Amino acid sequence: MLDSFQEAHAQARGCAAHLRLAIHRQTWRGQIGNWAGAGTGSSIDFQDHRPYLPGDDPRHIDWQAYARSGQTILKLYREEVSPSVDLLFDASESMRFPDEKALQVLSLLLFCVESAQSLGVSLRVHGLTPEKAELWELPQLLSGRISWPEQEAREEGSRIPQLEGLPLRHGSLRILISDLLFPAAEQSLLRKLGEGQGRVMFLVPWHPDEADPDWKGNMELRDRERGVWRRQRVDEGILRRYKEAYAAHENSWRDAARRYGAAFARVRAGQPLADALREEALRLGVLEAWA
Amino acid sequence: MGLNFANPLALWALLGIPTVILIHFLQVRSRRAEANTLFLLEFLAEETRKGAMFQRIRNGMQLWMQLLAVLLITLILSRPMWVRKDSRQPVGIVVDASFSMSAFSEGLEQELDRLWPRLKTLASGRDWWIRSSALEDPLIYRGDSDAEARQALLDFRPQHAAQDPRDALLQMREQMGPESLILYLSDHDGAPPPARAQRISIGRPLENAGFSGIRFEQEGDQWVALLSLLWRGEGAAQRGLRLLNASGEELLQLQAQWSAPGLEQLKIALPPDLELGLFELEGDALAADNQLPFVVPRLKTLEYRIHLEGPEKEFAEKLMASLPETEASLDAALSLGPGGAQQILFASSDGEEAEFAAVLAEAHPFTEELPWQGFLARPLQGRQALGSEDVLLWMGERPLLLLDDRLGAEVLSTNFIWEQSNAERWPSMILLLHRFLEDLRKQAPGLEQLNLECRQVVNPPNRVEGELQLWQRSPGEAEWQSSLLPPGLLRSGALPGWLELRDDSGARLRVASAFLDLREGDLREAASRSLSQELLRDEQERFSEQDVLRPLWFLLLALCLGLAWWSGGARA
Repeated sequence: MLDSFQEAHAQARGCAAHLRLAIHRQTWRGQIGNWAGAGTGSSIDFQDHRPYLPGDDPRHIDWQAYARSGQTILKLYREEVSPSVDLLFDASESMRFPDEKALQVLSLLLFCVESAQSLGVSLRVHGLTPEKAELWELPQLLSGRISWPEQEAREEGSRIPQLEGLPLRHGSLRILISDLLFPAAEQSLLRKLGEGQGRVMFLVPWHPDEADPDWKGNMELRDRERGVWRRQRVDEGILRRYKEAYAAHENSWRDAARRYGAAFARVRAGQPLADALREEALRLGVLEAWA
Repeated sequence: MGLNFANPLALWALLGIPTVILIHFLQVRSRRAEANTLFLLEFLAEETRKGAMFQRIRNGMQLWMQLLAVLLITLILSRPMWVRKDSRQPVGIVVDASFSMSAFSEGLEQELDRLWPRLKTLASGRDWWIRSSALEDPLIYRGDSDAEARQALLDFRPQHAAQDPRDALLQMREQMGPESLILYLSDHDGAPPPARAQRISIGRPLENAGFSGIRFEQEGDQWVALLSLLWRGEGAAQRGLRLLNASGEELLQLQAQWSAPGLEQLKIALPPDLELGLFELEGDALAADNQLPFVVPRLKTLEYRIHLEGPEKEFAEKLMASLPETEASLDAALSLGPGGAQQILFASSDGEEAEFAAVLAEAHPFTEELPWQGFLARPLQGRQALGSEDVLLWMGERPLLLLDDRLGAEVLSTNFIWEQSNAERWPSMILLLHRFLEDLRKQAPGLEQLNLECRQVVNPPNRVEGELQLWQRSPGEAEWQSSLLPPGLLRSGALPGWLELRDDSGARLRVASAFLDLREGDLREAASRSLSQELLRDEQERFSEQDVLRPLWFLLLALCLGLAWWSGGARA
């Protein structure tokens, strides 16, 4: 992890004290827990009536209704489940450049972990690179002992985070923390993330320099992920076209997320995490304020 | 019309072009940065990825305007001119005809290679007039062909001692007019030549060794040559020295050595029976003083008798003893005093002397260039010139000295009392008597051999049998070559060699001519100098038309500078 782990963790905990993942707005399936499930269960929350059918638990017969109507009506209660959250962290090189972005990315990851834990959900964190996906242990993650290895630049090969073989749990919430800075692969990625009745949430860190770079004149630009140098003359026209391409790339992901019913929120780097989360994630209901 | 530049140095301003380009290259140097989003630039790949720097230059209006401004500034400063089609430039060249020029034939060719193309750009054509600095030399070239003029200069062989070009230059200026370009081609630098001529020097400092003189002595029956050799260079030197006969066969080989620059003398015994010979020094740039032709000196004996008494007799004996190869003989044709066919007669001391008056010399070879003011002698009264006599000296209206030069009877008569005059102590009188006696010696039969310098006047024998013929011989030639006897003064050869005068009785006079000019052999002060650029520019302007578009260039320059400023400002 970065040297600034402590700083990131402090920011994450500070945010988690006021903000949390908006899990309660959805219905969940899963193991018995503290959250209202999609089906009937044994909680004390009344849900519905229905006629008694043989095999039903006679303890749930609404005897008062029976006294009024002579019908054996069964009283149904809301199921209480414990939601599963699969937190997918894009550990590619672009997530750690510049340093401001790296700090914000780490803060965001820790915030999600802290928030999920405070919500009592079943959380798994997966570190993703274009080559592999690996499960990160929470204690190690929270103690800063998970390494975020620097990757060797590769001129060839896919830049998309590796999701193949990723053990996503059925019906879990899949939160992908990624800058999505790889050639458009929205469809396949969303399809993969949505498998097994999963719900998808994108938390997209970004840095203002990516949206509006200070390139001008003759530039030699190094691709962080591929390590290759590119000589590029940048004038007003080219810069404008770049910005258009950047905006189109973002909109493409937003549209795809909307079509697949995935939540999507960008998190700006270079400012306190709380401010960055309020700017879009809170406004769009991806997070909610509490306490 | 040919294009010229009045100020070609301004063409250096073209260096501004690479400078401007370099500045732009530095300005467009790439800046390095890292980025996460380069995949978003993939669409630009073929359009701008390569050659970004050149693309910027190509598209940079400011750059193009600056380059154009540099070109215009160069154009304005260099002041282009167009040579008029009908322009003809008169060019006169006076070539230094002194021997030393022959040492720099290579320098001449190099200078002509530089000068000719430059002259060709001054005007459409040239009228050449090339002559030697020696007025007696024929014209070297006159015409309008550049190539022929150049070749004529290369073919010219200087054959004179040190020359003063003044007369030749003044003559050239007078002939060609005040507007012509007159050049003086020399091998030394110095004061500006007269007649508004321009000096071109083709020399360079050189070391030179050469002969500076020869003298002969007779030791017993053997002739000994006393050679003077001069080394003009640095430190000690050594040269091979050979003695050859006239046909070029080597007779002797030795070394000439100098411990320091200066003169060395060598004493060389000549082989018996050698009449014509040649000393030859190992070669250097100046070939003329490396050969010394000589003849073993041979004077005809002048026989005389004296029929005088008293002081005149005493003087006559001293006079004849001072001359080489004289012999008293009772039957000699020459008599000092009355008697012979050839006489020197002294006036009687008992005559009546007239008063002093101014002495006046008549023009005669015997009196040539001799001063007489201070000659103290009073003419005797009553003596008049006879019909066959010429008066050599007058005092007032009375003759002092008379010459009767009838064929075979030459008589020199004085008309003053010898004893009472200062004639015996007056050098002009002694010289005159020497000239008279030498003249008589020439008339004597037999062969005379002399060693002279090149181009020295040769006095042919006065009385010859039949027609006098001239024969010449150069070192290495086996035979004498017949030549035409030139009209006027006869001079020894311009180049080292021999000449011989013959009449029906045989050889009468044999002369060896050698180059012994001490000034010409010193090449240490030789220098080079080209035609000044200022002069060429002035000449160029005379035959050229100014650029009429000059105001337009200024206007364009202002426009370029304005656009460069505007485009630079717009970009900023």
